[in-house]
Amino acid sequence: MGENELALEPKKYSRGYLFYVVEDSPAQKLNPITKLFVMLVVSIATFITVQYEIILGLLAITIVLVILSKIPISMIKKFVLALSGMATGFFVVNMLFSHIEGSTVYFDAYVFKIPYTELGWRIYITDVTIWWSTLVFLRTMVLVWVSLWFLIVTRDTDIIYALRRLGLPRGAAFTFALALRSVSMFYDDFITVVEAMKSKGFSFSEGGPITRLKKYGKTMFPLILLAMRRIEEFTRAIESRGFSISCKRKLYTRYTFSLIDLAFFLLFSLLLIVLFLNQYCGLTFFTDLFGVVTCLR
Amino acid sequence: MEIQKMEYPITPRIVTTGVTGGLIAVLAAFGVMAFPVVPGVAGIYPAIAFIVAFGAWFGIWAAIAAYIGCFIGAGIVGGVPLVINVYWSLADFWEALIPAIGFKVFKADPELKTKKDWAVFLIFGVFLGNLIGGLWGSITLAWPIEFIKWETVFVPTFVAWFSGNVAVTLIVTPVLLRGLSKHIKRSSSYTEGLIK
Repeated sequence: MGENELALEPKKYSRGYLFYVVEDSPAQKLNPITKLFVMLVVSIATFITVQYEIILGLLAITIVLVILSKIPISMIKKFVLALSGMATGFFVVNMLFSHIEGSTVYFDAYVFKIPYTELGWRIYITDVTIWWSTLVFLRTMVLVWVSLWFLIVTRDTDIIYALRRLGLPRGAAFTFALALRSVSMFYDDFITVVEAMKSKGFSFSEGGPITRLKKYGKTMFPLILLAMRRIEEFTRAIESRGFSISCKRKLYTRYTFSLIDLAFFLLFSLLLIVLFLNQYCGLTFFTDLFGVVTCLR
Repeated sequence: MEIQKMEYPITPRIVTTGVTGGLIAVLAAFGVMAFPVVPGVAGIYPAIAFIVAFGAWFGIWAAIAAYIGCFIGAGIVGGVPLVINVYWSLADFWEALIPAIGFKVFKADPELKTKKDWAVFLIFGVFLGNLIGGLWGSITLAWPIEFIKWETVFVPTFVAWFSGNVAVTLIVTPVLLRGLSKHIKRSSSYTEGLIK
């Protein structure tokens, strides 16, 4: 080892849309179209099936994808907690506000009722309400995990490449990628503005809902002015680089389609076909498989 | 030497669409995470205040930005499957396009100076935009692909969508329009008509 070489080589990271991921992450080696395909298959699979065990299986697949991609759980913990809260919110709202008929009624009462009418807030919980609310919760969790995985292991260039390959015009692909890139910038800006206002004694937690809304409205002024400044800067920057939506551009990053990509395509296509047959043609492949596993145990 | 004026600069429009799309996405994600109703739908949706104001300022480009912002922020983050998200996100497109049509066709001033400006804002920005967007967003979650049950389309989905959006648009959007229109009009992103 030479004198100038470090004994411990630091890990190399590359920036996804949300976080930095280690460069040797297996997900970085996947073709962007494969990643998009995986996300698409998982999202289709979640709504073509209504069986808990299959949706839980899909959730397990997405969590395995996150782990295999070497994404530290500590890094995404905050996001997962917030999004789980959102999924729980869907569950609660469906339980309290939906009126779905079922064979067993567990709860039926008015919280308030306008006299002489049938109008008011009626909580009506049946067996189907509970089944449906749980299904919405689980589906949301699967979609949240797969979206997180995709946004973490994907870079701007990946998105532009994938969308261009799928035949989207260059202007549209560029606009979409710019919007995705702006998300993390504005998230940081929003936090900065809120913290700056708090440090000057501005309280967001006081007052009624309308007062609070108005207070949050005040954070919008600096956000929009920042956006306008960014638009001017970006416009000058990309025009100085000869950007034009009409000219043909070369893709500088080359993506290979490896055997791993092929394996992913085959595996996820098979998953989709099996789920489709299971749901719409009554083939009980999964049920039988679970039966075999249970027997073996 | 005669200096040629660029009649229709496309680059600032594209950048405006991308950047404002990102801003809408952040606020949409905040809405669906903080006030969830059903996947993709928020009881209070702060992004709508911007969507209507952007529609009045940037015309059709704001509508495209609203579509992208909704696709990313409310759709991907909010748990709407990609296939449904492609047509469901048009809800926000209408919510920006309808006020844009109102302001540009009736030549209303986004600074809301006259009664006519206010009337255009209330009819197109607050009522029609949110009604059509809300109906589109609620129905397309259940049809043609059933992602939510038909029994939940009106209550809670549409009711929460429409009432929440009307409240936010009434309270926040006039503040944005009256406070910022003067600055925005001076920028290269502002469109006099629907497109240019």
